[in-house]
Amino acid sequence: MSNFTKEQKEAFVYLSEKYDQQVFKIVNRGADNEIYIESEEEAKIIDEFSNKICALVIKDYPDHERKDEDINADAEMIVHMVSDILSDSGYDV
Amino acid sequence: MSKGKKSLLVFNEELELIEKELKKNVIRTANSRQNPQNPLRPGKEITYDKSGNVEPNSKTGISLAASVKQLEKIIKPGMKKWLLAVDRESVMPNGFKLQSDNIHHWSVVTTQPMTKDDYDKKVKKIIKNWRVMGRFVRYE
Repeated sequence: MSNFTKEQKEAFVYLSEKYDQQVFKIVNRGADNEIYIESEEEAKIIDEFSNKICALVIKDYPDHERKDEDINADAEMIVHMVSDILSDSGYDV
Repeated sequence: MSKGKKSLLVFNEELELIEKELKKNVIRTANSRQNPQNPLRPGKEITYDKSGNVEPNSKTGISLAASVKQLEKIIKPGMKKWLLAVDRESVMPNGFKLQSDNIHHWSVVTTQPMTKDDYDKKVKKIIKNWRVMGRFVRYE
């Protein structure tokens, strides 16, 4: 299990709900400051999500004149969060 | 960001250089107009107590990429990013710690409460030591 702030988890839940329902089901469970994975399959799913989230967000929110800076920063933050989740869980994908 | 190399470097063609940098440094990514430590977003990069002071928090902080794999997830085809090298042996001021979260992710985190002004001053000093590697673009 990995601990994050409520705001970090909310950002992850929001973007996963928007872009990937499989990931949403994983990150939306548990307490509002924790994210955990239960299998190697789940590890692969969130790893794949972290591989594409920055591209998905910049495509929909191109950050002209910095107006989408926050959501793009959230995408980048999710990449780092996923590396923490995978490391904490011990799954090497 | 305005300082550093003006020309655009091709991320895919500079992997050897980036790998070499990562042996000694971790890397902060920043968008073209972005101050490298900002935006400091409550609950995400920074947390405040009820008085508005910065709280110690090992989970929030300034994230740094520690592997090419991590950079490849952040810098996708078509994107342009500034890369800044942060020495893995950097000495941090009181109240700050450079920590390795895992092989792909490092962070600059706070270890003690401090005022927002104190935080800002110290972060600016920390960032002054970060070396601009250049502005990179990634192609397909």
